[in-house]
Amino acid sequence: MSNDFEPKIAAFLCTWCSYAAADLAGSSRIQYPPNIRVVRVPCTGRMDPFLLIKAFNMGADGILVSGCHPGDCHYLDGNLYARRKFVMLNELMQFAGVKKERLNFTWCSASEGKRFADVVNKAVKRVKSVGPWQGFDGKGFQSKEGELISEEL
Amino acid sequence: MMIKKADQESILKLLNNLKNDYNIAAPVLLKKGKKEIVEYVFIDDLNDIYLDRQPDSSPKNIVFPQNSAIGKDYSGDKLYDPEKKTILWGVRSCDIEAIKTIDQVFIEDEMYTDQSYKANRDKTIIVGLSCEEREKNCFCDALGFNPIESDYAPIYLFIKEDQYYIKIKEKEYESLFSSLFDGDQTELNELLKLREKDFNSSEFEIDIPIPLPEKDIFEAEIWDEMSEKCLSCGVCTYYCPTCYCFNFFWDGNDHDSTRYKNWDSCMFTTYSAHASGHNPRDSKDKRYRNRIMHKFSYHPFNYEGLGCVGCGRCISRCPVNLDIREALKLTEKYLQTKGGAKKDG
Amino acid sequence: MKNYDQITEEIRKIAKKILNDKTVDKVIGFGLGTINQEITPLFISKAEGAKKLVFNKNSHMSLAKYLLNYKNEDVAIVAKPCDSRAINTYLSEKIINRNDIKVIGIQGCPGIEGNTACLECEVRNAVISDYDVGEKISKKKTNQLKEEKDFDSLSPEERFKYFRNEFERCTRCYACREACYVCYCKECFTESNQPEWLNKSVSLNENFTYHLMRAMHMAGRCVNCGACELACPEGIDVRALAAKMYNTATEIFDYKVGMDQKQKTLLAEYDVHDSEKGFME
Ligand code: SF4
Ligand code: SF4
Ligand code: SF4
Ligand code: SF4
Ligand code: SF4
Repeated sequence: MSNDFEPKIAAFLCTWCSYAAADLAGSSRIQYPPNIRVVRVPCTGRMDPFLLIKAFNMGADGILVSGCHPGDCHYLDGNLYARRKFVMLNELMQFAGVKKERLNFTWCSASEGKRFADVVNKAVKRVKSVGPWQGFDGKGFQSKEGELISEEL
Repeated sequence: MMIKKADQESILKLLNNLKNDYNIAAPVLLKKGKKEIVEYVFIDDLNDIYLDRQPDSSPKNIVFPQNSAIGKDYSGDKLYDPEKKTILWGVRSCDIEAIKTIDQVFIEDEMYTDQSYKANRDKTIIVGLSCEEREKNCFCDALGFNPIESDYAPIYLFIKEDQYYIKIKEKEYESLFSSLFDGDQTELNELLKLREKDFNSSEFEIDIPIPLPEKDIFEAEIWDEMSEKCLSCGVCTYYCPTCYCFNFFWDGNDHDSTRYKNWDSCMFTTYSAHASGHNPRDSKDKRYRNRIMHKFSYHPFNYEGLGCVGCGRCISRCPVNLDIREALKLTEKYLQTKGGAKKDG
Repeated sequence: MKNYDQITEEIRKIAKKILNDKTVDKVIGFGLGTINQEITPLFISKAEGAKKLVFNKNSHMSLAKYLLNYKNEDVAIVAKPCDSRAINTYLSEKIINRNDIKVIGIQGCPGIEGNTACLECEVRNAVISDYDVGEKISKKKTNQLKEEKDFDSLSPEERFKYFRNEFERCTRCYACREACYVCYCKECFTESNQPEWLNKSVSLNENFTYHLMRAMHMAGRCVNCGACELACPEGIDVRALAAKMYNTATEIFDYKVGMDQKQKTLLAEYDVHDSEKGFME
């Protein structure tokens, strides 16, 4: 695997905490790698786990999901429902053979700009360590420029 | 017409030579999970050819694959070379008649010819195989087909133990088999007579007017009873050699997309769903009715022959063993008791 | 434990009785199919027909799903222990009425041939039943399956390879979906095109995605009955992912599907102290 591999990570952030944390990281000028593609969701409890499977289906090298800390949900218990789903999904994906480094679940509150940057750093490092995602069929994905991004798993 | 005779070994040798210039597709016994399934595939190793029983999947997979990308090779198979013609080896009578049915729709239709299907069919040489005995699920003879030989294939195999008789009905294919010894017509005839005797008695017989009179039975109450256990899956239609419904799909993402032609199934709930949300076939009895009516009423009405060739795959592969023979029997009974039965075809 | 023939006899007797005294209008059970070894769902509405009911080693279908065709009708249903859990789940999801159905529950199920799920079954007795057939046996988790197919000992790469090999063959006929009691959605995600979860063409990438998504819908609802696997015409190990969800629910959340008709489904509730297994710290 080449060292200049820059993973694409689909990051699902809840608008009340983690998205605000990303904002805070930005406005406090805390650096974090540009590998995440942020999708703002109203609440992690609103997230269909299918979105995460679909991200892999469409070629994301990894996923990052972050919501409010349990107990801090803007909608009281959305993230508590979500937590069960994510635990199940995580187990399922790993069982099917997706490396655990590609699956990143965590919580970040709106005041944790620094923590958010750390989380992204860590997620990027984890995904980098397992190389590009080749798709469920192992055929790889066509990059924008039209060249195949990568070799074997 | 020419008759040739050969043993297993020389047949394999012959095919091995032909393999250089032709794609060869034949039934092969595949281990799929815990199941052993005989399926038509493009083959490399000729020893894999398996002709001992009716294949569980039909040669539709070869002449009309489930997925075909529009504007690309007709078959995505690795062993398929689009430059070469394809020899479709060991196809039984039912499946040959089924290919004829699909040809009627995609090639011979007055309104429209499917050019990619036609191009593929023009490149396919069907080598038929005469059946030795009826299997538990088949009933082609009850529908008036001949399990021993179908006229639609230019070349036909008759196998008795290790001995192959090859009947070549069209001149242009004679050269393919020139390396084999000449066979004897009377010997073959005797074999055929014996076979006819074996096929004489059938447990299943059916007497229905073809095409089925739509106006008499469309609203009949039999459909509910027939389809009570149906699950609305796609098995019967996917494995049926004559079901040819398809749909187009765009697949892909922003950078790369392909237009596909894919099998569809009238047993799926969304098959007839309208964009408005209305679905004229919103329950399984209506869907099952469509399947029976298409095969025994609409197809015979619009083309010739039947839309079902009696291969019985829909019976043996249905997860709940819904038997089309029982459905036909119910129809027969209904028409007879309601006095709707009259022969007009 | 009683054998298949004894259970068959008892089923017939009960079916005959409840049809005769009009307790129910219909009995949903198993009957013999038209091809050797085949079994087929049977719907009996006359007492004379009761003798056609059977229960044998091939009775693999999950009949519970047919209850949905007879909402608000009085029907009785023959239920294996796994099917009885399916019925409980239906009741808890409030899509059928307890008063409309009578359950002929098989106690001490002798198992279904070729169904790997039975090797993992720890219930063995119907959990909801109006008329018992067979006799109760003590619960025992056999786990013979582990010896046959131990996923835990495989590396992620090996498992990935295994599933690719399996799903490669999938034709997306959706027999597995239709055979499963869980799948009664009016519009399945596979058919939805707004959003389009799944491309409609059949390729390994899409097949794999289909199976993952289906398994996700099985989380906390799959009763590990194996009907999906036995329905698959391509012999695909369809149950494996769903069974993983089933076992994970037990291991992590101590949740057993369908043991009680009042029970909520796994993902419809939470506990403040739920595990965060696999989360980044
Ligand atoms: S295979 Fe059987 S269950 Fe499936 S749609 Fe066809 S008849 Fe119905
Ligand atoms: S309907 Fe059934 S028996 Fe008739 S051709 Fe199709 S699969 Fe064969
Ligand atoms: S039944 Fe088998 S072939 Fe059909 S969709 Fe399910 S896994 Fe695929
Ligand atoms: S997914 Fe689970 S409940 Fe559904 S058929 Fe398969 S084993 Fe049974
Ligand atoms: S797979 Fe999911 S969406 Fe589809 S029918 Fe089953 S539960 Fe419903």
